[in-house]
Amino acid sequence: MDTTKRASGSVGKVLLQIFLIFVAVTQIYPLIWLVFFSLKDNSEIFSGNVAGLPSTFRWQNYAVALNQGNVIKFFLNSAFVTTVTIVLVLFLSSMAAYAITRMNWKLSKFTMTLILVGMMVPIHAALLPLFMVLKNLKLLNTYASLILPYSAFALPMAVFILGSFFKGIPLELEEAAVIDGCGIYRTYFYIIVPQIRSALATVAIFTYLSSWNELMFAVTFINNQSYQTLTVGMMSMVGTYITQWGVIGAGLMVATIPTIIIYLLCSSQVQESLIAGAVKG
Amino acid sequence: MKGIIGKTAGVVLALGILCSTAACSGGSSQTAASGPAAGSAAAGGDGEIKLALWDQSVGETDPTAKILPEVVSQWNKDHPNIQVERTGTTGEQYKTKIKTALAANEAPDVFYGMGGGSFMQPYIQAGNVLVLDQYVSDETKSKMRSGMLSGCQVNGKIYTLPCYTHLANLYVNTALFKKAGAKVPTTFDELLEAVTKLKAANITPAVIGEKDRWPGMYWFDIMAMRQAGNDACIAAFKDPAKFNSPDFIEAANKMQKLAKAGMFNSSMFSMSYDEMLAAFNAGNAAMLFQANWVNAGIEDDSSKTKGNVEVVIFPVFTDGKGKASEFYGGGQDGFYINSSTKNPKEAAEFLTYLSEELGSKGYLAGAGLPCWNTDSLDTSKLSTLDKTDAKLLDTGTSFITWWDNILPAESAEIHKNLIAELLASKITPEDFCKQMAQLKATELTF
Amino acid sequence: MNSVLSNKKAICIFVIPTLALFFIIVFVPIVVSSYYSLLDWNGVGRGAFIGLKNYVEMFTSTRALNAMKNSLLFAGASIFIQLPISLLLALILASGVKGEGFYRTVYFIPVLISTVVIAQLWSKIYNADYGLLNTLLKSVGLGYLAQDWLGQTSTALAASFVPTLWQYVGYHMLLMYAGAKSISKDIYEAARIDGASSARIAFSVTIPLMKPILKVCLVFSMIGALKVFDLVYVLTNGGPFFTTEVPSTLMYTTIFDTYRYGYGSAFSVFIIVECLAFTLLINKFFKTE
Repeated sequence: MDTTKRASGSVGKVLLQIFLIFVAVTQIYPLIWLVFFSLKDNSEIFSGNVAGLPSTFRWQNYAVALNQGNVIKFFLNSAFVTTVTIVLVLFLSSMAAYAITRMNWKLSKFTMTLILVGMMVPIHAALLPLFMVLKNLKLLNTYASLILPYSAFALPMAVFILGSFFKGIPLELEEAAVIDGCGIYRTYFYIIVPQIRSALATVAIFTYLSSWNELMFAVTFINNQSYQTLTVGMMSMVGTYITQWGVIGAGLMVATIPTIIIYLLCSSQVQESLIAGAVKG
Repeated sequence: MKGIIGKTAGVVLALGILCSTAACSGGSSQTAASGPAAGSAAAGGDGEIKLALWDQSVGETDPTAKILPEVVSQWNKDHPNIQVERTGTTGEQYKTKIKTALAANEAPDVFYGMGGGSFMQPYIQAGNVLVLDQYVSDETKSKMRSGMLSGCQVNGKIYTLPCYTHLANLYVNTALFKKAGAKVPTTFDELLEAVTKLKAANITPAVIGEKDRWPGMYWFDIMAMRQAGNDACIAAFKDPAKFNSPDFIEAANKMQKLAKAGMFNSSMFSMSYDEMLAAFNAGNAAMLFQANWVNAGIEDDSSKTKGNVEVVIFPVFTDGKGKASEFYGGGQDGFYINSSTKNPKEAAEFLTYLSEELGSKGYLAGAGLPCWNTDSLDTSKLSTLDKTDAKLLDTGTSFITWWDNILPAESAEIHKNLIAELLASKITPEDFCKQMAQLKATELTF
Repeated sequence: MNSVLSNKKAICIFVIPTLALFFIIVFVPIVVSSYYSLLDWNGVGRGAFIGLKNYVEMFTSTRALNAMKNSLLFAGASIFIQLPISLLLALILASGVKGEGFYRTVYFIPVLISTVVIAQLWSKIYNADYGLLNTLLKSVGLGYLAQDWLGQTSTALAASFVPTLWQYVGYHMLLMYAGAKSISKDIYEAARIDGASSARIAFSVTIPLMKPILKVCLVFSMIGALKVFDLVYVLTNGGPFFTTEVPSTLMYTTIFDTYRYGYGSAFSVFIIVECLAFTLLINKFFKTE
């Protein structure tokens, strides 16, 4: 499609590539910085070598970070909370988005607007009221005290993305299913859901990001170490290793690596879904 | 509080959306007694009591962080029927966490009170904190240093027990002073002189982490105490109109003079407290005015200034009313008990044990200065800084704790913000004092 | 067909679980916060009902108005600086340059990284004493430009906005890229045959067809900007002298430092209403266009 462009001289193309690489460097640098940082000691960090390669690679920083009490337990907690949240969000939001965008009922528009308000709530103001709600539901200090809020706050975005995706699916699909004698549930689960797999991947990664990295709820709703999440554990390392910044960096890396891996695994799916769905607004 | 939730739950139910699901349990639990103490409710085996303890001692250079787990595990060993479960959270998050929990009546049995004073005042007034008078025996009282208990009282009732106390003094990097040919100051004029010499030698005279605003407050507060004297300061806390008087204006004036003379790092407004300590420990500045909780960091092996730092009293002003024996600090930094705890007696027992153990062991580990009798303790292993501080404590005749703990919370914020403006010369000393006079009077008794 | 898609029972089964969760976790706290905002309450004990006094104070306090002004500036910066950069990148990538997939993946990475890390990074970049930015300026002979970026009133506001803008460039880029990619190739071909230049195609064909996705980006970045908290809080905590304060950071200090729960809640209600108003405005704008 861009044959004309290719013809338009290689100088422009080189300049364009230089520009794109420059942007890429500014976008990927924090990750590289974190890797370097996690392998340095204080004197190096404070004596001006904030940016460059460490003079010696201090892998022991990772040993300290990983030996930090319950890292494995924290990691599993985070993984469990995040997984359940993702499954719950996918399940709930896809059904809701389907009903709102494709089924006929009076309040569908209003319901959509209502759910979107959820994106506008500043969570710090919701902290105390939510704490009270969870207290009254007797859910404090349980996995549910994180899973439910994470899911609820991830729902608006999820319904939004899936909703715009559903709009792009031709109505003939359902018609054919109905003619074949499928009920609404069969139609939904066997015909519709398989159509939106890549959109679900997108929702999954956004939900993952918001729940894996969340700090405020995790600190406030959980007191019991056995339910504590990795972010909280790593954050308390920031408070603990005041004098060993490299160890903090290593801890942050431990918390970041799963995200990067998951993203790289899902990224083609995510991008594909965004392109195919091309959020219609 | 409960009324609000009740009403809201009512609204939600009226919307008829949540009928059979979780919301019903939300509605019905209104009638259930509000469960006290997050961690405490879960009882273990027969008759076993569980107590939840929250603190913010997790920092690796915070000596309390090392002692606290030891104290707790020793207690658990000695008291198989009263098991304590500890949750440590770092500073800023601890503040949010404990305030939310207290507001929701879900606080743990025993918790750290962030220096008491105006931090605890709203909760004491609201009855969220247990009165300890009936649990503190005369024997316990007799073990405390004289005067220490009065700092734990509000309106004549005991709410906390002392652990240790802290004093703010001037930390001087002698190596840098020597390099600049400056003399450790004992008066304001000498301080100005030292600033000039240090500046000439291209050394930053002092660091302030003013991004967090309280480090700058320490400087102004001690200068106000040196200029007006502790009694005048206490009078002004009770009647802030007195802040608008020549002595306080002069203190603000001197503070601004120092700032204009280039005493403080030019990056102070973007520097945090942690960065300030890092800068001082790295030898990037000659002076620091802080409390003795910085000792451990200075003495840490990672500190470049280790061995070169002396702690001295803040210079006395020849034209001021304050004396060298008047100190900034000396407040009680203790733990409190939730008034809705199911086991007040046991919690108080633990609190007594915790406070005394921290008071003695913590002192030996350099966590703070003692509030309990320490005659029997072997103090030979204390660092020079800790020993000097302990000696200074003994010479004190009058103590005023951190002003942001004395002033009501909102006034404390204004106080800190005004000092930042003073440091940046955004406000004149006269206007500074006029605005200080608008603050609310302290709710604490002196 | 219609009867299947109007199945009331199915609609209920599909929607009610979501609504139930949403009501308990999101809606109830909003209602409770709105109620708090009518109280003079310190977070414990009983609050006194004071009607709209908190709101009156909010709209007459210079500090609060300044915070609102800052968040509007930030929203402006998001719309007029961040989104155009995202759009430019999206159009370039969508036109099929070499390494398209690679860039697309890399540009999204900042979105993945936790705010804790981003905040650490930028505070090291801006540090006045040993920061990356000043070091860089000095090494290229521009030492006179080195300054205390976050510590002075003249630069702090802009400096505290840059990290958030930077972090989400890739996010909007990806959304817009998807929008551009989904435009039928025939339309491009037709334009090419007409002899239109790339820039012309972008302005007269691609961008108009991307309107729906541009609206989404506009709404998202607007809401994000009006709610901004994390990075501003960590980098400057609203300082120096409130120059970088935004409604959410002011709300946080009001609630947790000065114990004014009612007044703080008024800010949260304000933020929600503000977001809602702007979202509706954007929708209107796109409809009438």
